[in-house]
Amino acid sequence: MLETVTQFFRYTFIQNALLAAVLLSVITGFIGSYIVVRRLVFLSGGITHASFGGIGIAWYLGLNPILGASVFSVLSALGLEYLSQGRTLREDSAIGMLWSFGMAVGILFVFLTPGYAPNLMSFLFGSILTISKTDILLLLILAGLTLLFFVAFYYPILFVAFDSDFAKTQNVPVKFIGYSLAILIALSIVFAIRAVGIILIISLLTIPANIANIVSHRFKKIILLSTLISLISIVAGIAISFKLNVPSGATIIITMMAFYLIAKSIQIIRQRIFTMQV
Amino acid sequence: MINQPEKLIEVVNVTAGYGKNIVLRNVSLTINTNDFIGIIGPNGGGKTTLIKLIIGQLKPFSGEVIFHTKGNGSLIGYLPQASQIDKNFPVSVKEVVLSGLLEKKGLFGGYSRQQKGIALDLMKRVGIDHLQNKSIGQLSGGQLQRALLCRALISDPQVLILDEPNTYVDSKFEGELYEMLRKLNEQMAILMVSHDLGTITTYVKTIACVNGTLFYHQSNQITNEQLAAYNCPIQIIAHGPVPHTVLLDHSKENQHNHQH
Repeated sequence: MLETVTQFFRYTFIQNALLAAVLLSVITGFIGSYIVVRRLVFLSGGITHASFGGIGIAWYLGLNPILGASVFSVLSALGLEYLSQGRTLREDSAIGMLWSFGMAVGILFVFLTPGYAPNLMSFLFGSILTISKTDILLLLILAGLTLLFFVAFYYPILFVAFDSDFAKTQNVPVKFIGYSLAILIALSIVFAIRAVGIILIISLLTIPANIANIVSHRFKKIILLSTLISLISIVAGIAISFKLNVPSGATIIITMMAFYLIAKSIQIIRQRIFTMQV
Repeated sequence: MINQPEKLIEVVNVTAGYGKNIVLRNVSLTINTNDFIGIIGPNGGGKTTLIKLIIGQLKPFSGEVIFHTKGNGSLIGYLPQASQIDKNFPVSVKEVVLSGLLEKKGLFGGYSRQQKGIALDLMKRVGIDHLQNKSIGQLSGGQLQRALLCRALISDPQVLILDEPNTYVDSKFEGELYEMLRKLNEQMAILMVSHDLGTITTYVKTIACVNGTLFYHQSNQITNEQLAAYNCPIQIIAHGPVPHTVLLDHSKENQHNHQH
């Protein structure tokens, strides 16, 4: 048993994957908690899928797909944040249109690109086991930025999310906080594509924070707990997928969902017992 | 000591709205020290738009809003409608109250011991100090309003702005709230939006009718004829022990706004 475990950690790709797991957990723990409490899950789904347009175009032009995805997702995040501050268009409709438009552009350009696109599947479903040193460096920079931003502006972030009108009366730079977080959300999404893929990212951003929210009702604790939950589930997911030789992205998400169901069941049982006692 | 009234906030010839839709036209209103202004008007008449202009949430198409800040306290303390608050948001009562000091605290760091002391004193005054570590989701409507009132007051504002403070509030607290406001009015100007003309005319000093335009009424007594002349078709429902100076027709449409 011990030998299998040491064997497991000896592979370079496993080491890379675990390093990526730590960084991803920080990013998704912090950004995911913000997305969940501010109810931006649908918006994040929109940005994720819109970024596929960038991947398609970059692919067609022979550029780095992650670069293309970054441009697309940052622009769509800023656009949606702008719309949400102006309230001139129905926000959910705007997200819906952007969501499918991005996918359509992506599909079209991938189709137009001559030759077979073998790595395309990795963008849709991701693979943390094939993550590169460059990807890890990008994750490291983003995790650092996210950590710095949240530590420096914890209270403004919390109260812009809670009640931005009131924050404005307190001269909190609501727009600066809103746009900065929009950029961080967009970049988190793009950098997480490598690990779990476009289709699965949204669960990485929502499940850990929702598990944490079952246990705690304080933003700070939700952030820290979801980071921890994220890390445990990603590592467990990697180990299981390695052992069973199945796709890592999907395994990670299913592991997370299992944790969610366990946490939710315990909560429901405890509430039942509590009401019976009363 | 009786101070001469000084201008705190001036709304000068403001036209405002959303996109191409103009909600308020050529509206002017001056809030002076010692003022207690009740804002009334039909739904969609622009009461909320006026509040948004005054708290700086909305920029006018034309005209201007001038703020005269003086002294140590902040200029505006704002109590939004309780329905605007996401009750599932993971934040404690104490944190919400302290967030009224965000401006004084600055962008970085936490709150001082003295600031936490002020928060506790305020919570004691409105009787929610035993709830300070609860999540806001565990509060009743009236308790949440009290917490939001503490948040509005903690920065010692010169103008207190209340947007329908009597919705979701039990009638016992409603009476206490108005008495509290009357006392607070000795220290700060108050601007209150309300559907409840009965309480408005009992507690406020002057009335502003908002319906596309704004008519300022220099007293708290107002008649049907004046309301009609001001183009301010509002419906009031009589209830509670508060004396009513004016009663208009009941409106089914408006009854759901009065839960007591």
